[in-house]
Amino acid sequence: MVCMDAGHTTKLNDLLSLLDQGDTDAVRTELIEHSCQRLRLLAAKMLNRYLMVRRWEQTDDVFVELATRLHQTLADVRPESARHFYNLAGQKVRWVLIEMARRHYGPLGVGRNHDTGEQPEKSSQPRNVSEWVAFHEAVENLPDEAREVFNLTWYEGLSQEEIGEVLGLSVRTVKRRWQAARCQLYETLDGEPPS
Amino acid sequence: MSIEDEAQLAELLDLWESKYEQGTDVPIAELAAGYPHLEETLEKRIKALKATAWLNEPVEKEDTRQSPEDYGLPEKLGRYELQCLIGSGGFGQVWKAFDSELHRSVAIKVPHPDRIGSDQDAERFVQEARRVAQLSHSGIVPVHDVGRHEDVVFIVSEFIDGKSLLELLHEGSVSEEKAVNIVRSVALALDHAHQKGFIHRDIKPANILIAQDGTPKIADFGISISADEESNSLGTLAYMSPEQLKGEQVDLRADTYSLGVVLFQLVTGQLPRTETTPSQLRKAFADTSAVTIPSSIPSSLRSVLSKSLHVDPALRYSSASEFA
Repeated sequence: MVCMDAGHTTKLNDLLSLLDQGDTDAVRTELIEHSCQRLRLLAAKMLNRYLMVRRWEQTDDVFVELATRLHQTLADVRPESARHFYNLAGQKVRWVLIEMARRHYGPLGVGRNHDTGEQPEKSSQPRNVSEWVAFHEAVENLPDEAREVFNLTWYEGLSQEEIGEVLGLSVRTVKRRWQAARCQLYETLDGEPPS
Repeated sequence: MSIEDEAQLAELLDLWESKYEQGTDVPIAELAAGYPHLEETLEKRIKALKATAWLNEPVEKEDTRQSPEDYGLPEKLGRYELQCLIGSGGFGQVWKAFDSELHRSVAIKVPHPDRIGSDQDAERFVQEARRVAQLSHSGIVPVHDVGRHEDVVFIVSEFIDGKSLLELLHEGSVSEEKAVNIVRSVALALDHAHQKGFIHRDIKPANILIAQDGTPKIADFGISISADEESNSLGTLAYMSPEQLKGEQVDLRADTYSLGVVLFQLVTGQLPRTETTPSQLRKAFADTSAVTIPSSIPSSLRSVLSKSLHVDPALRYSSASEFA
């Protein structure tokens, strides 16, 4: 099982060396598993906040369906590199989250605009489903470099060290791209250019 | 902005964020001392970084629902004061509650409103609870009461002050001998229920509670409501029998299969099938009828596991007592 803990870096190294050896099936299986687990966490984060709605447990069926689709899509991919895979997986995870939000909490869904009202005043964390959809779409529209780092950080749950390894960048550069992505996202979502 | 200014700004933001993560919010004036022309931009970017700092937090720390109100429930369901959430799953939540008349702790299961969509559903639920209440066995969590409060239907059962088998699994504190004893006890309790005409349909470590005296007790009898097609699909994927997964009619051998999965997990630390989606699992069942059992498992246990986990119900144990 791959998860975002200290052990993941070692795991990633193993995966990258497997990929070097051309053993793409093993790599793909591990990475798909990782992405499905990350999807579950993000889906829980996105939907658990709608406290009164009480539907998270019931979204399990939807989750299974969408995770299955994620699994199938990724299984069709022949990853040329870990970078290629993570980019694609991050994008797919985001699309699944958007679809999950729209299908169950969309314009007619019971969770629409349900505001928990418990956000810290200055946080830009989405407070309802429509804000989550806007959030994911804003990520979609980030410039390539920022989106790539955002994908790997948030949708794939990799550490900055791991991202550096996957992208062939220094941790310092990864950190700066992550900061830039957050500033651009804030600009899009809150309409206040960080200049 | 020049390339040099961008680089300087990036340095300052790195410095600010590393201090911020350690709990110090360095004032912008202090940070920008020596770079007054960057102060305004720095201020805006720091504002953006603060507003998006939640993206740096681990995603796992999220579910904050704790109180009845969070779940749209009142503080009291009739005479029962809801105290704290002790579990939630596909069917609903389980609350620890206090019986204000008998002055004792109880566990209250509240199904999701969608599971009880009509008055007919509610009546079926109540009737099933009444039937389950007649089950009397030391290895089955007894049902005390069933009730309705406005549109909420609930089942009241004994509060078991102990841990679930799932928790013990996570702690890694189940020896092989203990595992065998637990599973044997559960099989005997299941046999009692089967003889009374009940099928559990969701046997899994989370539904096996271990009381403080060590007695395993099966919880959640009655979730099946009735043996209709829909209830067949209830259950947890990893422990679900092949026939249940296919939506076919199930009998007691579905429970013995699930208990076989529990035994496998207890003695090997792994699930017999690693597939995580229904379609994969269905395919795995179709491709291979037998599971691979690690060679480290003693042969007597291997044969029990192999028989209880057979894809074909006809080749499994014909009763839970035979399993035991």
